[in-house]
Amino acid sequence: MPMRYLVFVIGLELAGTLLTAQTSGLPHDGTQGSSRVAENSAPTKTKSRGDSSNVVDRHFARVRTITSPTEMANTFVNALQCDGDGNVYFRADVDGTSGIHKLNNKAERVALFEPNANADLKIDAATSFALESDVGDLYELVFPHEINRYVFVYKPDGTLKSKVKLQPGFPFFPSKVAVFPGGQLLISGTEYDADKSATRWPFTGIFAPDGRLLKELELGDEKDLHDLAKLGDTRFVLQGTNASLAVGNGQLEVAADGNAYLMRWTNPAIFYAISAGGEVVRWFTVDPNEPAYRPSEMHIHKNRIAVLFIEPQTNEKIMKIVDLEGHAVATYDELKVNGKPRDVLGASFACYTENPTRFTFLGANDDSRVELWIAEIR
Amino acid sequence: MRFLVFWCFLLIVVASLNPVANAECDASCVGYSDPLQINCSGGGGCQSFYMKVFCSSGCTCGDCASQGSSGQCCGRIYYLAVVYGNGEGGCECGDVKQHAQTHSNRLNPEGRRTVDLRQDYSPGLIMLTATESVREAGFGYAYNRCAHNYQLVFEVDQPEKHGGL
Repeated sequence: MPMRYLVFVIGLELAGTLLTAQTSGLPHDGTQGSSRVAENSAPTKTKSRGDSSNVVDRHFARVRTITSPTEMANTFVNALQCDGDGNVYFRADVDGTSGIHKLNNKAERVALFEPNANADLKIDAATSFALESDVGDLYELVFPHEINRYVFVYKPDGTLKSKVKLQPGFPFFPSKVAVFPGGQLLISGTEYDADKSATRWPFTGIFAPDGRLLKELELGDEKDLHDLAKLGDTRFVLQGTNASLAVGNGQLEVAADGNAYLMRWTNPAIFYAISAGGEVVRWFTVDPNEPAYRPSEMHIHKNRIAVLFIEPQTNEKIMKIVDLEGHAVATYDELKVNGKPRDVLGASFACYTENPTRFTFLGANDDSRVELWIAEIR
Repeated sequence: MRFLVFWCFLLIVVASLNPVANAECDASCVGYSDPLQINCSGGGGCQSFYMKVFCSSGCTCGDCASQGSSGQCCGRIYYLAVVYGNGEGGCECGDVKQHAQTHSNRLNPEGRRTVDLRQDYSPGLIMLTATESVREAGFGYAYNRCAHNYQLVFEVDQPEKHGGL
């Protein structure tokens, strides 16, 4: 554990009244070499890796636009889902308290899931959500104005069904949730270090349907992600906070094999397949083979995973399709005309289906009407 | 005047001896959420995104300014929360320390994937070697409650080794 120390203090230090406005360090333009150190896999895990080439198989392009008659929005929180009936779920307000919108395939609102409709808890924020595969109940992570965190469970029509108080036994910050067919919840987030002001640690846990923590998982990357964030590497920590980009922006979905797939917001994107019993079945990486890209959204269709990688400066995109073991299936980029993307599809990747391969993005037109942008392979 | 100086001195001595002396938190117990990516859509086909944190109940005694900083995304202003900790205790939050010590893997100094994830560069850091980085010396301001002004504080970190090489 490195020891931080003050070299010298000019003037008077008043403990307890320290207001720090730390400057950011200069970015280091080191070479982005391709050499990698082979990863060690723990005995309980198997590792597979996707292809290591930059070959793009084909392109994806917008083939249809559906303008919503009911919805107006300009921002979309990167927690987007679809169900098997083609409904799209999105959240437009950044604190999440005004609800999750459910649109049918004509982009008409068919339900609204509002945590604030529950009058007995003051809600500070709500973040990610998951869909239960059988009935279609929606599970939403909710932050009331207290240290306890909740999962609100809604019926498909938006009515609140139950409130589950998460009981890990220590304070934590959940960011992603998935629900297994048996009702157990897999939740990833962060928890405090022993020094509460220090960088937080990644947390992954299986919770019973009543909110009891059944098992805390050690995925094996906790120390790496923590240490890189603690160092101040801006790919892993949002400057000025003790929160983890790799965890907070991660993605989590349950696949047809009954395992949940947890993706870290890293390059290469690290995936863990986790069973309902809390076993890490396998882990693998999906590599965009472009160092500046970041994974934006991930969705699973049957035995395929689609990961959208975006270059933050140019907004260029790569869609990698892998199987549930991480083996590369296809790589697509946006269709370009004269070197520029023909369509500007944004980062709000909401749905992925196969036969035919189809990606649905959310966007807005110049009048702020929400649009569904259907993209297919060309 | 002497009386005021004496009280300031006394305050300094007490604060330096026991800076977080089981004091009650007079403000709120707050903390940052983990970041969320927010995607923006705007006129002229603008598509962009930014990272958002919000304040929730946590273990830091202080205040949260929900509009503590701001930026623009596709021409629209957005706000980010900023937590201003005041250094007081009183937000003990239960069994944080004891639980943090239960993680055996976290005591293991071996970093298995650090080098792979760093991709041989370190944004925001000065890279000394492939497995050693250091932050540039930061400076900040400490508020002098007696003199009612801010005074410069330098902070330097030791180089930190990482990676499993």
